[in-house]
Amino acid sequence: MSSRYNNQWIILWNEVLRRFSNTEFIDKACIVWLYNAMLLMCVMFSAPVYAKQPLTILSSDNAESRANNSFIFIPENKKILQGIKRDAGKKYLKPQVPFVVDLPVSVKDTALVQWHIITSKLDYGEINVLSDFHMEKVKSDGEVIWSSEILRNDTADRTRLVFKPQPLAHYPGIYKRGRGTDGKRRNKGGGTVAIDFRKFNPRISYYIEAVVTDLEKQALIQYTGKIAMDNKDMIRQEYINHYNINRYGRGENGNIPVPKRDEITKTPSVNIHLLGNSLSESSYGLMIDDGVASIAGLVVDLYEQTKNKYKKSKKKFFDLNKRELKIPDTKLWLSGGWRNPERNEWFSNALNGIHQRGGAIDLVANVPHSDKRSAIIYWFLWNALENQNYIKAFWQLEAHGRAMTTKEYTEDIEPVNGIPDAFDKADHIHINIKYD
Amino acid sequence: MARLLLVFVFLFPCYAAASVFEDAYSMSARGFTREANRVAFYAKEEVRLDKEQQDKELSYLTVKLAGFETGQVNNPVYWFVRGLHARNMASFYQQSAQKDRVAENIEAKNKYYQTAMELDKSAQPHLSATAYAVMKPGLPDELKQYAIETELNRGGSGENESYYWYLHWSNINALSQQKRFDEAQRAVDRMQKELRDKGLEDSAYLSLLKKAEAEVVENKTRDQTKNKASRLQKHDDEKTSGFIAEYIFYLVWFAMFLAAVVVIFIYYLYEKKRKEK
Repeated sequence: MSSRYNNQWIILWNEVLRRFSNTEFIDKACIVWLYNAMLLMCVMFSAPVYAKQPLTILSSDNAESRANNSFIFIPENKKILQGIKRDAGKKYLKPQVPFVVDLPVSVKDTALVQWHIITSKLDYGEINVLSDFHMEKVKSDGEVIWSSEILRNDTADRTRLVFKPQPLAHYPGIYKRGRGTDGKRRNKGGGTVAIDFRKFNPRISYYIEAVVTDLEKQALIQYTGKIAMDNKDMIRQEYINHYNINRYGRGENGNIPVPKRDEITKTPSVNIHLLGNSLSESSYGLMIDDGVASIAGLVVDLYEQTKNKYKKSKKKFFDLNKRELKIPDTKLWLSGGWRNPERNEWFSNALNGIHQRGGAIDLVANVPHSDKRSAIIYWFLWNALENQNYIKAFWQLEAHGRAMTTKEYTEDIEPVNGIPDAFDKADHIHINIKYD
Repeated sequence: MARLLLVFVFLFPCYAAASVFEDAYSMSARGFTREANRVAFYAKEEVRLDKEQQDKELSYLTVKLAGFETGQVNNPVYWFVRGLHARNMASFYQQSAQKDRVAENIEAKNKYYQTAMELDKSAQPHLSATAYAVMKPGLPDELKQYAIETELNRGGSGENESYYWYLHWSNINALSQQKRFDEAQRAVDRMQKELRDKGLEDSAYLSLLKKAEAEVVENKTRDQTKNKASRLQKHDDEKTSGFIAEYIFYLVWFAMFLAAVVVIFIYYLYEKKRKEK
């Protein structure tokens, strides 16, 4: 609190100095003002500060976001589609709604009002104040504070603060994989400045404070409120930041629609036969499930059932040279499912990758990658998938982020071991639902 | 020339100006970017050329790449591209089942990759983790393990965190397969430390560490048992061969003794006959 009041002191003295330097004669208004200022000083030294009381906040046109005092930034003049799932109705996001913050009570004519908006330097983005009064920006340690003048009753609507946040720019304004060859951030790659790929985008928030000085009662009343992105809006913001972003290198610009709030749900548990990670790669505890949970379950059951069938019937699995291959007795490992866009940008060049839609999983053979057992597992799973007709999905083998070419499914040159090269090289099998 | 240009247009669309090579392997091939892009394109994209066109493209690249050798001889990226090209050649010959040509090119590929890795120890620009991931399949065991370890040291090239921990396991596995058990144990310790440093000691990745460690112990025990068995076998063999030698020794002595007795007996008979005369 003290820093905020110190700030108020500074504003007060600035005002005194401004008035004295700009006025040739000390007029009546100035004397009244000086009187008020001195009174205020006395109040600030001695007056009791009443307990914080909540401000009334309108942060979004979305009822659920509004209920949580949450919001998203929507850039002006940018048409962004909303509705990410296959069967979702798609609509353009409406323009940004200004934040409207009201004092919950009316104030006396003699009372003085001062507004402050505080955000952390990390989340710093400009704001556009739409109220009648001006707000001055001051940067201090770790914070950026906008403060109004001390508002008297001659200021219209001094009990209402209206402002619009300016979008925190996606830096750099081009999509480039962030993770470099040494595992560290690439030069000018990897998304928003403050991103932590292991977690998520910064939780952008504004702390708002209105200090009402009741000169008659010689009391300060502090009203506070916080507008902060909740997890769902943080996820939605990531999609907004990546919409229509230019791809570094060849490929399309960002075109994945922004999820609606009700398309973001809690992460479901995975099939018991599946080892490894959860269906969400993020730390939000939330995900978009456009079919991944169901696909993961079906594929794992298929793999386990086929393996058991071979075991029970003593059916044999042969390589290209008709030599018997022993099927390793191990489960599959889930290495990835839904991926939030910032995390995707850290790991992948696939700007519009299906993992971000909640429509894809990556499965790994639970043995060392360069071992022959790994190739056998992928080949076995591949055959199981090819010989069924109830899993309506698309699958491909991938290694270091690229899909195998057709020729690699027939070649056996690297190494020559009776197994097509695609299976030797693969580090996971990618399975996704089909999109039109 | 015009046909060659047509081949290039078909094979390598103009959007690739943003560097297919850099996109695929996370490193740039300065000085021979166009050729590196075409090699990368053949290696990683679906090639829609007929055989004759492929032959022309590959022959063209063989000549062009060889032409850069003098200027790029110390550049690891250049040798990586040469290796990749040799692999493309092997793939081409595989289509017509020319086994000798396939083997010849795979051998050349391994040699080029080895040169690239050797140069990469000192020369710039360094090869990326992706390059090591691309090189490792099909290499001789020791070189393959080196590729895995170097990829690991450079942070891995996977799309997610699991890949990195599996890479650790691959490295440990490769070392223990080669019976380099002390190094394998050090690699286990390293994995454990990294998990701890990253706060993942209680994560699912711990199971990979345990499996890797168990494999080292299993391989080591198997190797020791095998060595012991082989020592015992050797001992038995030695024992058997010692027995045979001893037998032969006595047999020879006995034979010599018999021969001596026979000689003395004959001499005795001879002397007796002579005295009777």
